[in-house]
Amino acid sequence: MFVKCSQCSRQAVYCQRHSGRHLCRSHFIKDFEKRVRYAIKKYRMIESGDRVAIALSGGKDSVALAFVLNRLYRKRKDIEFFAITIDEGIEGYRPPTVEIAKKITEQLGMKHHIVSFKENFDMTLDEMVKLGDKKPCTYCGVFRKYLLNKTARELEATKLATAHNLDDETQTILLNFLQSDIERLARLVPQRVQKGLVMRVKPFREVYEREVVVYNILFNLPMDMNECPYSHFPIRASVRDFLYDFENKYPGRKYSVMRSFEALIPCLKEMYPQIELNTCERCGEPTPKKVCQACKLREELEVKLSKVKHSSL
Amino acid sequence: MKAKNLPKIKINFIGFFKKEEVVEAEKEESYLKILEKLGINPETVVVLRNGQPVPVDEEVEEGEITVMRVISGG
Repeated sequence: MFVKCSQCSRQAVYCQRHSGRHLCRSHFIKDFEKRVRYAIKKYRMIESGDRVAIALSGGKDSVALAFVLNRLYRKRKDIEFFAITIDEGIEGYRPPTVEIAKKITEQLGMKHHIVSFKENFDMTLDEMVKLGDKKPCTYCGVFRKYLLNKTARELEATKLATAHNLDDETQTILLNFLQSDIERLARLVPQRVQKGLVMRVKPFREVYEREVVVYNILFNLPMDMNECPYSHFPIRASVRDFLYDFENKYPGRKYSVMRSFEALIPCLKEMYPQIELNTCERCGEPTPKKVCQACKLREELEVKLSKVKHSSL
Repeated sequence: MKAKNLPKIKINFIGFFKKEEVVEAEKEESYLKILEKLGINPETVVVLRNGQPVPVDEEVEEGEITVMRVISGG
């Protein structure tokens, strides 16, 4: 016997444990999109006149984001969307998702820009990792964010949408708290306006990662379930495991974490007022310092590269 | 004596080390129970039957299911 939808009598596809409801395909989609719209409205993520860049890796979350934004706003002539894919140069892992990104943007009729580490920094991430002594995620994090922001700004985006979901956000909130990094916690406050930085928005902050996957399956969207070969975050992983355990025992607690964080936003804003950013002496990109992190890492890598070249002569 | 007509379920795994496993379920057992027996947190997976998601508290049916790990990173 199948379980019936709590809203109608059709066959349920999802058991929403935090609300105690069962939802059929159409009510699941309605509910999912309602929470995406709620998050967008609550933090005024997308408004009339916006030109929204979508950070599209081609992974399951960002594919769903491009799809849902297109579905919710396709009739709005006053809002534009386009996608940016950063190709870091990770052999075996990135090429298939770049293909998925091309496929989905084509299907949606969405403009798509692919920007690579190789073109911009003369090196793929794989090459940086071999050459440098920093962790892969350091190079990737700094250069990816740099290129996303720069590309979005040059293409005159007013917002940069990323597919971070409720699971991602609550992990980061708890992680920063556990690491006593309240300044980083403050960076999660939505609607931070800083010169040179395109405002980041996260329309999936109210939906579970599991629900994003169900949504993808219901629309038969292309999904790549592979994991980045460099992915290694032991502390985050243990926070994540704790949160899944806690959520399993007490469904809905991820929302409690999110609401607690939101209650602290006024304090965080007061404790860490936004500072005026400088422009990097070398590349002109925004930075709190004189030289931006990307230029510093580039310099380190270039020194190493010239040593390698020298020693091979 | 074991009852004979216990539903047999073939599980295909996506995102796990193991690829597949056949388990015998108790009658009127839910997928939640099966996951629990396998040591899988239901919050971290989506259960599919015939390619469509099923509520985890639904009663098992003899046949094939897919258990897809949805969480990433780390």
